[in-house]
Amino acid sequence: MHRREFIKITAMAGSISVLPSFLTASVEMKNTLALYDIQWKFDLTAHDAKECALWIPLPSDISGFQSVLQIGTEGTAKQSFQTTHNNYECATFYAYWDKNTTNKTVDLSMKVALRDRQCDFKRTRVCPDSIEEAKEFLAPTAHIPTDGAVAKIAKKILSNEKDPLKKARKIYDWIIANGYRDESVHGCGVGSPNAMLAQLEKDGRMGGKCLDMSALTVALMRASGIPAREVLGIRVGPSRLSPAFGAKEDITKSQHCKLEFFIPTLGWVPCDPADITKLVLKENLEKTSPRVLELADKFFGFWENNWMAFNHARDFDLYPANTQGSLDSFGYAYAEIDGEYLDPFEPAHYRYSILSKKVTL
Amino acid sequence: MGRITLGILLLASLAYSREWNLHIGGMHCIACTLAVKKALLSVHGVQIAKVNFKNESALVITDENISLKMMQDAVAQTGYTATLATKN
Repeated sequence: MHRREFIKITAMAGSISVLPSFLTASVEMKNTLALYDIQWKFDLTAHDAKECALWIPLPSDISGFQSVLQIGTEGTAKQSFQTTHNNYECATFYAYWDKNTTNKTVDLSMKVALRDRQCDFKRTRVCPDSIEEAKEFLAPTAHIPTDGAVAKIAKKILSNEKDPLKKARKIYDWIIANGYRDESVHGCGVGSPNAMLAQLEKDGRMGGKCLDMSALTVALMRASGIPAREVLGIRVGPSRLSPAFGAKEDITKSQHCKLEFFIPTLGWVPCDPADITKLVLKENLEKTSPRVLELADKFFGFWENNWMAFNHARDFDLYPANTQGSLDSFGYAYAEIDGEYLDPFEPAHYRYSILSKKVTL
Repeated sequence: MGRITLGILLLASLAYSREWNLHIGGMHCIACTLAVKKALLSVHGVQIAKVNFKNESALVITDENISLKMMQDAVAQTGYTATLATKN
């Protein structure tokens, strides 16, 4: 892979104008198109005389919200390819360097178009296949339990509520009311609902970051019979709503997890309780302030067009298989050096950067 | 030349070293391997520690004077357990 390779090129302007309407008509399409040019650079040269393998999460098309217009790669890997061969079909770029390669680098460049995703909550027709497929996201995984403490709390939150949308809102509001953003947490957090609930029982509130909040929301929703899934991604530009929700050009540390839940009369509905807890912290607001209440209401059914989704994989196996086993989530690039996990938060050994530029249309 | 000297020193240290295969309990994700590795390497005399999440194991190379208990205590401080799988 010595020369620049373009994996996918489509006619940019053309594809925007013919974006298919969203799978479920409940999502209102607004004229909020944004185009981003994103450059990734990875350098594993520090690991001289060692085998290095790298799996990078890639964005995929999400009809009506996200369109990947181009992905190009350049580097020194002995082997590299793009794949969706894994049980969540998440788009992955894989690169492998043998121990004899001294200069171990790979660059990715991509152009992605994003639109605001806004659910208007009008009843719509959802195809039976989608309803059937969504049921897959009721099942527990290794890190998303639906029994024990999760089931107990879900029952307590919902009382006798029967309407699925009202159930989802009650859980969403409960997360915001009881959660707080803990800046000492590494990255997006570990996404362990039981750890969050243990903290709540001990301290009367629970701290974490986006993966922690989203995972608990997903677990509570699944335990209540609502299909739900975390969506790992990255902020790619400034927010129109608050600096708390945005990113500058260097987005290396801007990974962010949101979630979506499924209502048979609406389809998949986006939401983001974690960002409301971030808003409270960053703008030093009371949870009962009009601004928090207004944005909490907005974020139940909304994703802004400054965030790019990667995948909704939890507890899954990479392809090609890694040495360490199942990943609990795939929002960060994952690397192994001679089969050992490389700490993504250790910049001296794992040099990478992600830059994003908003392109004028 | 520097690399040759380093290689000789490494071989010399390995000649007086001991290999341990440990079972590591309590790891719930791959990131836990980092904490276990750090704990093992914090024991003065542990030369190499390779931790595997999938196999719940650690391959550890230590000086001759290192005991299992020293490693167990270090690992326990991080909330995990270490027991002997096999010893060479």
